[in-house]
Amino acid sequence: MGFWKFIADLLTFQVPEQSQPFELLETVEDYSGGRQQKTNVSEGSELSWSQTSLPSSRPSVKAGLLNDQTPSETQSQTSKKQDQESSSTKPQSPDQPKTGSEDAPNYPSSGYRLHRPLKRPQKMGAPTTIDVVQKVENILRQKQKTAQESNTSGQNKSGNTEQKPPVTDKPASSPSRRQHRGHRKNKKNQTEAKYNTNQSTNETSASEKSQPATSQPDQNHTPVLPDLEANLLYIGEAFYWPKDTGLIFREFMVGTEPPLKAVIIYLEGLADPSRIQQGILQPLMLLSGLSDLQMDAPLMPIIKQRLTTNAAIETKNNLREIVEEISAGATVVFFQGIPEALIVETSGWPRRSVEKAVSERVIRGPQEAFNEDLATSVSMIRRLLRDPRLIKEDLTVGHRARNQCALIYLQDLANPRLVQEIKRRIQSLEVDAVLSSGALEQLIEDNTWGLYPLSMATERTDRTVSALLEGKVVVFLEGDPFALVYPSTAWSLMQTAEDHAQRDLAATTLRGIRWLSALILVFLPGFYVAVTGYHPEMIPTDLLLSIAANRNRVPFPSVIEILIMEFSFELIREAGIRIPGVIGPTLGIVGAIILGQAAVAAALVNPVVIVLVAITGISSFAIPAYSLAVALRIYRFAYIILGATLGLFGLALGFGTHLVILASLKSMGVPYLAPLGPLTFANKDLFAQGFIWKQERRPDYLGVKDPYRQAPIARKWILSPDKGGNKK
Amino acid sequence: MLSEGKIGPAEAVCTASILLCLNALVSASIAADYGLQAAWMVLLLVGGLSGIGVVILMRLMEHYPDQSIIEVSQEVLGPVPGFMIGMIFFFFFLLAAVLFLRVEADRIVTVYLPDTPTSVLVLFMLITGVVSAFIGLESLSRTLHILSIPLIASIILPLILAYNFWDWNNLFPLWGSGLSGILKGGFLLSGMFADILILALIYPSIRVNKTAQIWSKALILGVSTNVATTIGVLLVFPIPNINENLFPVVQTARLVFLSRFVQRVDAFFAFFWMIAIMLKFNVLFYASCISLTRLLKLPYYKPLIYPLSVIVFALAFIPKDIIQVTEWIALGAWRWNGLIAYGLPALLLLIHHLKPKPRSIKGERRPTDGKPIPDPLA
Repeated sequence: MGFWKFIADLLTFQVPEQSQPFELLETVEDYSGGRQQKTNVSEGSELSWSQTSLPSSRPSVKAGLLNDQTPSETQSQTSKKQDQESSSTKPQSPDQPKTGSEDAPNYPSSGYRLHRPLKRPQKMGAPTTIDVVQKVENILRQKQKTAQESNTSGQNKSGNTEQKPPVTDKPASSPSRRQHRGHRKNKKNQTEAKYNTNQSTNETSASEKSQPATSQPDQNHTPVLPDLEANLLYIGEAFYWPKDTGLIFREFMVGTEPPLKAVIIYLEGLADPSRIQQGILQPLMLLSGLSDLQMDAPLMPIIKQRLTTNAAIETKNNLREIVEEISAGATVVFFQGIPEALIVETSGWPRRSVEKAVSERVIRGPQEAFNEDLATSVSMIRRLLRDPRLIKEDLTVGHRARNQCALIYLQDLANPRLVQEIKRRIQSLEVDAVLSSGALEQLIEDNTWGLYPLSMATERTDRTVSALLEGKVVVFLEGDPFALVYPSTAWSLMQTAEDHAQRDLAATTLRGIRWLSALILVFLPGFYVAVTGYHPEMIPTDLLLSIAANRNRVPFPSVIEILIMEFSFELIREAGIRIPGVIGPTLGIVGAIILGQAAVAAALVNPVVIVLVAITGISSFAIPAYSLAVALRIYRFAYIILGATLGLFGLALGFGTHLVILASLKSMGVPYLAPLGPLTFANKDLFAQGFIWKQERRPDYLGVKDPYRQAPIARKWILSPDKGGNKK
Repeated sequence: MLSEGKIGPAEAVCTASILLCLNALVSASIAADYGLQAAWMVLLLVGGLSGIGVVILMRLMEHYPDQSIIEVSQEVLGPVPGFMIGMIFFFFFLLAAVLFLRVEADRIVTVYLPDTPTSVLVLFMLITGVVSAFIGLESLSRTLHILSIPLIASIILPLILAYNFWDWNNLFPLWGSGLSGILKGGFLLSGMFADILILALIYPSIRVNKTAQIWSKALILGVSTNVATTIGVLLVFPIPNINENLFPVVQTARLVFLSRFVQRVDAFFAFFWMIAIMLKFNVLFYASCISLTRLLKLPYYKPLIYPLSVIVFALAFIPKDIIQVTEWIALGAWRWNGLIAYGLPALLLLIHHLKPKPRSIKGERRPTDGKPIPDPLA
């Protein structure tokens, strides 16, 4: 009947008196008896509710942004408020024995009272005091204070080895190599010890808890306890709350019968408060009226399946994983008496919109580029490649930063050993953080002492999808807009996204120009130095005379001329990038022109050198892969030195050795010069781009599961006479 | 166990054939000393004799598929005599590297860098040898494989481009110095292609499927390049000029005139010759490192690289000048190398066949010749 009355009241615009669960949170004194009664009723239930075990020091809590606060009110402000309130009352230490005064309800200010008379609800059961967060905060604050004091006193007392600094503080002296190896393990053990201490403390202080003492947790699994306070202590300590004010605790009551105490935890700025409000708090607090029959069933499945409206939810019982989830922007809900936590995906932080590619611009073809948000980048790939066999595996790197990585590949295409190898390398990293795809690349690639990029870093969706369709594996790093494509060969780095948008002949010609530009970039300055210094007979006589006439006024040898100008060009280029605003490139070009003219006028260099350096510089911009262009730019200085030292012989030695080194490089086990060295079957897309309808096979050096990407006759329409094809 | 990586048959062919092809830069003038206008026949005869040697080598190595010639000699002859024979093979590669380094450094200095001290060139080439040896056989073979066509073309192409200087009368009289001269030249230069012994050294690293093809292709490619070059040189220069010229291919390349603007293309070709020279030295230096490592049964070869580089550098300056080192090669190495590269393997093969095979209790032959033991359950 209550329900029909509620509907009737709603239709007649009357405020239903029993539909205000918030009222239950307002006062405490009315409900103390009922709480005890209801708890006794549910003692024998499967979930072993244990609200009664928690001592109450405060009747209400104001931590959290939601409902109680305006969104602009931060946790720090909340903490200040709590501090002020705590200072008015007696600060409580968990280690102190309880007195009768601690259990006495501490009334909130009058502002919390309702203006209208409160009626006791018939079905909502006993209310519970809300004090867990405050108690945990007090405990942790006291602990942190004690630790700080002991640390300070330990530093003052020389030779006092018993008082160790807290885990987070830096050690007084730099650790030895052996200590460094065991550092993380020790840290893990110390955190574990703290957890165990908390656990035993809770067990001691709350002897009436029905939950038996858990056994020693293993190294990687720290179970969620039914005791809400113990869980909050672990999470709070893991995040150094309340010293770090970024962690938000929000305590509330789930509107079940009887009310169930719960706390949500999230990181400020990482989680979206509106999603929390709409997806967690509203359903759990307002819409969770469950009948007594339903309460016989396990609660967590009901919460998951019927109450929480967020799309991505899961339950976890490992506090270590929960800490990682919170760090990733999820919101965690702990319920009193339930040894599981509800993980709700609520991440929401400022994201850059999808914009045009900066480093891989094309005239024809898609213009969009990835951005720093991993989910957005992956969604862009899925939009272009709507294959359900596209796999995205999440990995985490960095002990501190916990950077999110994604491994993307086609399940029925990519070589499983390749996928496994990449995964193995990423998972084996023991570093604090990996903040860019460039750093990740260096950490997982085969050879790190060279300059050549062993993966293709691309910000373009179409190139990434093309690589996936070849059977390659793509690695994304959260916070970096570049995708790393493995394995990559030298040839793939000289191709552009626009190649396949062009006809084969045009694309082949453009590729040839790019290869020529690479040769010019590496060899031209060194060749000039070698020829003018050692092999002038190679230069046509007229040109030789012209060069000689121009060099007549220059006091430096050719190698110095070239080095001066090349260095100046690099200087202008680097400064042009760093100059803020749009004037950077313009200033660079103007600077180069003025500098070149001035250098010629001052007889520092001859005009031929200016021309050579300009051609070299322009050639460097024709290399599609930026990392490759940087490598070649640096190698050209070596060739200048070799040309100045041994002439053409020096260039030959350098080229030969260079090639041997290139042949030794491998990208995830695949030779860098494949399919030319070693010679394997090459698809018709290497130096030259073949007809697009003839590119039936994928590169065989990848060992893909399906070597064919299209039918032997891809254009079936040519077989059909009525579609304009020739009938044979 | 020493691990050198694996190379494919094509890479093995290119590695061995480039070593042989590079002889073409000088083989014409030396062969012409014996055969005159029939110098190319001398080289053909050398190729034929080398073919016999290669067949012997091939047969020997087929009995021991997972071992190099160093280990085979110890397996066949026993520890001490085998070690002595292995030592001979090591010195073969070491001296080949030393002589090649010195002669090519002197040639480059003479032709292209007259103001540069020989020691500088030797030092630079040695540095590349050290780098390549550290990187290993796989990369070296791969590089030779990639560059094989341009390198061989750079030897053949100048002779073709000098077609306007061809004089077919230079080839006549066809038999040159006569049959005796050809035979004499053929036998005395039988060690010209002895570098093919490298295949026996890197044999465990080759992914063998058709062994005969690897040996035969490498030899045929090397011999045909030498013969073609000799014919080309004979077409351009008369015999007296060839006899006096230590660098006939270089001289031929200098004659090439494509246009007024593109003149003196020999430097362009020289660029590739120098790469080939560098790579050949790298292979020989690597071979000396590997042979010593196998001889001493060491697990790694890299610790030997630096000491051997110092030894090579020191030995490279024993010859007085280019004349002396050329004499040592033409009259020493090419004359006697055949005995080491083909004679010793023939001896080993003979002993292998004469050696009584251990028999099992039931009288069955035991597979002691290196062949994989057949699986009885298969």
